[in-house]
Amino acid sequence: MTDLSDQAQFDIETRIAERVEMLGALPKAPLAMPLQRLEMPRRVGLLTMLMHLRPARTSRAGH
Amino acid sequence: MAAQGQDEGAVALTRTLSLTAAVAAACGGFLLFLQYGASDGLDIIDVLRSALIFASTFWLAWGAAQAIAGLTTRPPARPRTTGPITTRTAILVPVYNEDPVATFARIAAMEASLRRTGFGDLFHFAILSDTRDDRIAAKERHWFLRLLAETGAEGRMFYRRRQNNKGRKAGNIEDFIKTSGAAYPFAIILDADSLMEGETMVELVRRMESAPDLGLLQTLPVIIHAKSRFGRVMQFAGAFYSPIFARGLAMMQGKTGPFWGHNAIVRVRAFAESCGMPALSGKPPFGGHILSHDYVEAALLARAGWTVRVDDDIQGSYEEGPENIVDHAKRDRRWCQGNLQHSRLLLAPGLRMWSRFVFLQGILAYIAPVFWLAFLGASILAPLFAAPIDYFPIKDWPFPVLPVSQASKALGLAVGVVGLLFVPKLLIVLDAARSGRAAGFAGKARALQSTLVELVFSSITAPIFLMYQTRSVLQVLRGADGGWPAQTRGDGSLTLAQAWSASHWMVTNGVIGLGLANWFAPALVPWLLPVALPLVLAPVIISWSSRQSQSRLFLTPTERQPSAVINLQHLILTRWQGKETPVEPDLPGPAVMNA
Repeated sequence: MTDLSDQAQFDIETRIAERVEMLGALPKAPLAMPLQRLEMPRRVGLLTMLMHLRPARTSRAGH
Repeated sequence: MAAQGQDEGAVALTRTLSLTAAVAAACGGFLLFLQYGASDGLDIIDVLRSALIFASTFWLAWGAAQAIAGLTTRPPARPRTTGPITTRTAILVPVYNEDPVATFARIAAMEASLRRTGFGDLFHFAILSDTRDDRIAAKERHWFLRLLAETGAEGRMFYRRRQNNKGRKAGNIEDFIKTSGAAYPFAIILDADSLMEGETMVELVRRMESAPDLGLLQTLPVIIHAKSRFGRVMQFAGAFYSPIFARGLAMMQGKTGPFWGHNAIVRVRAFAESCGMPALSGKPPFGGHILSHDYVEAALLARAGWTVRVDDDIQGSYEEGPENIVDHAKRDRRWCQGNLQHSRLLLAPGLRMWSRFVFLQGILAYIAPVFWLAFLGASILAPLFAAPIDYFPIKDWPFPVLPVSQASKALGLAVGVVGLLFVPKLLIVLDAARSGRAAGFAGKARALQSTLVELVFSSITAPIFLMYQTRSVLQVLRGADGGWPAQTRGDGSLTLAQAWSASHWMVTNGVIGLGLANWFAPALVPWLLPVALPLVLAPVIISWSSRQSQSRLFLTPTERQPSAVINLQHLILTRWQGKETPVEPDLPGPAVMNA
């Protein structure tokens, strides 16, 4: 006997989604896909070093 | 091995000749313009303009060299079997907010076409949805059930929707491989608008089975179903010129061929081992997920020692294209960002030199229009920097020395540039007439007429594309991310108001450019008109070209005689579009459809 208080049975979209999940599920056959290296590790180049050069610190004299 | 050595020798020779010719043409353009500029005294603007001419001419000459290579070479014989195939292949259809009815009708047609080959059971379809719109996703589920019911392909046809679309299309494919990749030695990667004959897919598998070192085999998809004036011109250009350019490309690339993201078959193990795509450090547009992942995947397969090939002799591979200039520009904006992002990968470790060069070419394709625009801008401003003419350069000489006109050099350069653009296409007409290929385009006379009108059309629209591409490049350089807009498909006709809102800034730029030229360099105005007039008329051109085409020009072989899978798709789509309610609400139980 149909339980009319069970509203879920009238939710067509949910039923369709369940059916699609059941019929359309991809086969489980995992394959690893390791991440590739595309970028060089960041290294401080000569130009960068030159641009970051600051006058050497000197200790404060006096006082 | 001898044949392979011969192949590699031919590839090296084609590359060397093409590069030499392109560099020679660029040097010629540079020197001619330098002489022209130096006629009234050499200044920094002259040197800058000559350098811009060098870069732009190189790019044009490179394209022309590719066509010449395509016209003068023949593809090497490919090892292949003709017997039955044995390998199971997944057909991946990534979708992203597409019209499910049109997409699934293509899948139904391909499935039917595959069954006719007798190898249908070896091909499984995987619809990989990245759709974000829940209403479209609900339609996808409805139509998937109908697809299953109509094809009876349960167990060979799958649908899954990702919870998040991490990595966009590349991430979508990667997710499939991580879930199901081990079940399939090969995968044919399609786009939502792709269509392929069953025989073509079987042929792809045959070629993969015959060449164990082949990691990826790209087909040359032909544009179909174009309806608008713009769409049909593009469709004709794609069908008539592209096979020749693709053959030239194949001869230049050798084993380091291209991947255009769809209508290609991959060896799943090779792809999985080599193409795990990391996000780049930093923020978009230069950092983050790699947008034009296909070029990178081809480079990574080649880095791992796999052959990547484009076989231009494979027929029966189709796609649909944008129907108007604005949709084309939107797609181009995405490609522009993707190609400029490749600047981060030029020095990626271990890549083949040719892969780096391919990245550079992709970048140049978008930078070259900026060079042309910079050249025009510099030419308008050049008189401001020119030194006044000295009529008495020789001391104590009483008669004036009039400067010799160098206009013939500028004219020669202009003729050369136009020649690089037009001559390859005219040579393709001659080749088509000689080989009989023109018959598919309604005969020699109609093919010639179509080519001439296409040349006029592409000349008129070139400044509009130049402006769109320049804007895209500037947006990317400014750090603006174009995102991942869904593609507009179907009827793309635009009203004048819509065209105006997409191009009013071009009208402004065209008027300002002409005004400045008239002010600073009036002699330049006639030279600028071919560029400035299309800009001023951009809204009219965009709207007019988006309208339905009734012309008997631009006929293509598939338009005149659609192939079996195109007819099937049309039949299925027409029938499906006539049904408003695909699923009867009597679930659960077998999915009963209004067939």
